[in-house]
Amino acid sequence: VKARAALLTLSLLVAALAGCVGSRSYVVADSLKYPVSLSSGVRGPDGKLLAISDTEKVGTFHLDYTSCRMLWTIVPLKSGTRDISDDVNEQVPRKNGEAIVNLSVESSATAWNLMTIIGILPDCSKVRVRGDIVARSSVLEAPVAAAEATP
Amino acid sequence: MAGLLSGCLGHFQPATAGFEGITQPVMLGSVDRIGGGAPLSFTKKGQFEGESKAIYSRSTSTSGNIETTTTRDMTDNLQIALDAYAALQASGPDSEIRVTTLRPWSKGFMVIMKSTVLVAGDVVTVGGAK
Repeated sequence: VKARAALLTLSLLVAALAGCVGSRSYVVADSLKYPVSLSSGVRGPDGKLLAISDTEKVGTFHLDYTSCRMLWTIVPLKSGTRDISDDVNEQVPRKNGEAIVNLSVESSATAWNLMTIIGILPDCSKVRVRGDIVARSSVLEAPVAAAEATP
Repeated sequence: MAGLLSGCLGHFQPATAGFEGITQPVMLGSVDRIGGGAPLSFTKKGQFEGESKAIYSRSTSTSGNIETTTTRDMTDNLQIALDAYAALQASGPDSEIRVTTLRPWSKGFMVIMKSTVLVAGDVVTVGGAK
C-alpha cells in the first residue's frame, strides 16, 4: 500500500512538474466580420498593405475573461476556448471602425494558481485582450468633406 | 503559502503577446483585409512560433538569526516580437503571419508562478485580391 501511495504521489508530482498545471485557454476568432491584426499592419480592400498613417484610431477593443481548469488541465471548467468574434463584431461597428490592429493578449496568474494543490483543484487564470479599433482616414474624412461641400 | 499569496500576486507581472509597431499583418481569423470578400491568394512560406513569458519565484532561507528572502522576477515580452519581425523580413514585403494558435496560460507551483502567451501560425506571402 505504501508503495502505491508513493507511486501515486510521484505521478502527481511528475504531472505537475511536466507543466500539466495551471489554466490555459485558446483565443480563436471563427466568425469575424472585420480583420483583426496583432501587429500594426492591416490590408485595405484591394489587398494592399495600408500605411499606419492611412488609418486612424477610433476606439479601443477590450475583453477580459477568466479561464479555469482542473485535474492537471484535463477538465476545462470555464473559457477553455474563447471565441472573440462576437465581441469584435459588436465593438468595431459601434465605433464606426473597420478593423482591429495592435491586438494584444495578456495572461496573468490568480490565487487559484497556487491553491490548486499540484493541479487537482480548480485553477484559474486571467486573460486581458486589448486592441485599437481603426478606420481608414479617407473613410472618416469623406462625410466631413461631403458636409463641407453642401451649401 | 500566505507569504507567496500576499507578496507574489501583488508584484507578479503578466505575460503579454503583441506586435505593435510591426507594419506587416499578424492576422487572427479568416478576414484578411478591410471589407472582407473572397480570400486573397497566398503561398505558405514557413511557420512561426513564439512565446512571451513572465516568471516569478520567491524563496526564504534561515541561517541562525538571519532570514534571507530571494525573489526572481523575469518578464520577456520582446523576444516574440523580434522573432515575428525576423520571420516576416525573411519572407519579403508581401508576407504576413496567419495565427493558428493563440494560447494564454498561467500556472503556479509551490513557490513559482509562470504566465505565458503562445502565438503560432503560418508565414505566408499574399497575392492580389481575387
